[in-house]
Amino acid sequence: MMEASAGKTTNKALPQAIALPKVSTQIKGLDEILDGGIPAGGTTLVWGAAGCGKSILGLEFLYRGALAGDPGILVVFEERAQAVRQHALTLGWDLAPLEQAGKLFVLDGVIDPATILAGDFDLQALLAIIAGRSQAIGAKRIVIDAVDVLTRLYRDPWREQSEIYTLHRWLADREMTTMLTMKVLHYQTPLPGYEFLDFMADCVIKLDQRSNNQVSTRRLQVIKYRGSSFGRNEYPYIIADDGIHLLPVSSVVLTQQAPGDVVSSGSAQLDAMLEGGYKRGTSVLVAGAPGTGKTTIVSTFAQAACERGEKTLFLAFEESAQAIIANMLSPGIDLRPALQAGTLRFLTALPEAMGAEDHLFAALREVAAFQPRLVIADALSALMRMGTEQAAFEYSMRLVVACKERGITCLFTNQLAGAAAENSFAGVGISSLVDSVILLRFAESGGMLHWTLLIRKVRGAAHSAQCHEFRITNRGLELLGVYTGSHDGYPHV
Amino acid sequence: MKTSIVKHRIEPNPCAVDSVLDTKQEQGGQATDRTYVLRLFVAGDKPQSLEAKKNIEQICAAYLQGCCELTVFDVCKDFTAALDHGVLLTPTLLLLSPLPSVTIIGNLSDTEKVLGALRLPKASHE
Repeated sequence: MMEASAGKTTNKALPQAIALPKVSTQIKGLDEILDGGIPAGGTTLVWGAAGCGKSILGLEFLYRGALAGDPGILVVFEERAQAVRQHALTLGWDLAPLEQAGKLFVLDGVIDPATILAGDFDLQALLAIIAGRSQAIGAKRIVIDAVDVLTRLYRDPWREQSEIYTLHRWLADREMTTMLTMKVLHYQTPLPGYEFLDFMADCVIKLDQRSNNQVSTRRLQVIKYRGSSFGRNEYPYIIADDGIHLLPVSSVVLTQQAPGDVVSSGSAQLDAMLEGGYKRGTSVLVAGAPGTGKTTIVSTFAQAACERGEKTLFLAFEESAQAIIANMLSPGIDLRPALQAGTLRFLTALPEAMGAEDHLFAALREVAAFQPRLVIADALSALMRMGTEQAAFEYSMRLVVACKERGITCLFTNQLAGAAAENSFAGVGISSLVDSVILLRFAESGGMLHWTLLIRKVRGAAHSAQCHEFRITNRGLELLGVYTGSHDGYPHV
Repeated sequence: MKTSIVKHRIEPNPCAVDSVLDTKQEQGGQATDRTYVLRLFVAGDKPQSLEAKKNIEQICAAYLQGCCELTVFDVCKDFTAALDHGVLLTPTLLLLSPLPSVTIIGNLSDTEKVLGALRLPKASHE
């Protein structure tokens, strides 16, 4: 194997740096983490506990490769070939035409449990079949799913190790790009006796599935990549209805578009405080205690955008679309025409319904399909219920980044639970991510309850520094002038 | 011990057939319900394969005189028979008839285990 010190592509001082030849994994987001793909002609080990998607990863690599014209061989030891074909269909992958076209060969390696062992044996028949079939279809890639099921027949760790090494060398000699999958227990390390696999393989990918606050999440991590740089973090992934999707955070390059022109928020008075309105392609956070009118303000923005003919996507985590529309009728905001015209679209889901990655994937898919100019998320504070604070923060951050890359305006609401929470979102500061913050508060003064609005921040633009009193009437948001009272004791829960 | 080895018998994959040991011819009989139809898959002249071939030939001669049809396939010459029978490990011995069929993996050095798997009582060796 090429033990290239060329791995660090940034090291220009090494004159003989040769890039390691790589093969695309065909899995969305994984090639970025692997800096191009898995090693061509090398062995990649994928290990993980039951149900984390090892077989799907291997199958997707072969299926999409075959579609792109690269023939491959799949050897399955745990599932019958017919079951693999059936499962593939549930992901929308029809293997039969590829098999008929000689782009894919599925070798059913399930060993009959009634098989009797009487003396020593080797893997020659398997190798002969692989050699024969790969030559016949011109395959240079192979996935061996659950190789340990076969080699465990030896009941001897040393023998097993030597046979897996033999297989590895035999495939390497034939320059086959190989993916081996392997079970682990307890989300930790390979099964006892299989640690050698990590040393043998050129590239090691770990998959795991864990639960945080009863919400299941999946993570992928590249443990090792001989001769190549790679993303070293744990990356969330999901198994969607069409395969595996990774959403690498740190591979997000900040290629955001510059803010666009200034457009109206829908309230002339608020526009005046914002020196004309908000800039397209920026992100605005509307934060406040419960009942301060956050949803009313974002709905005002939504209505104005829709009236300009700009498509708006409303991600609702706490209320149904019907409830939001009905509630907004009392402050005089009628979203129904926009909904009927198709300029407004709702995507509603309870945060607990699925993991943060699934939520993000659903939102990003909708953004890609609908191509909105404004995305509203109500409310970020509910995202905490997706699992962890970190997951909620990542969701928000990636949604902001994805929208900024496309020049889409983001509008978030966030429910604050106390004065100390003003600057933070769920313990992780989100205000640094957003361009503008509108803070809504209660105040009690002179025996009266007052609602106040303060523009805390507008990145790269002038704005009013005054705290305005406001109320929500049946004509919407109405600013009542500068509030000079105190906010002592507010907002609170 | 006398056995006859007939080469190039007509089989599904004639080129893979290394040899056929047909003890029925000893008694000039036709294949009957009691005929043991055996397939042995070997890998060239690997020691395990030679060992398995020797072992099964001895068992056939000693226990299945006159009612055994053994076909040997070399996976190195042709893999298709192995593929058709789902054989990935060598040596592998398949008992196809009488039913139920049996798969035995290994060099067949454990004679007692092989006899048990083939449902051959030791007592038949007289």
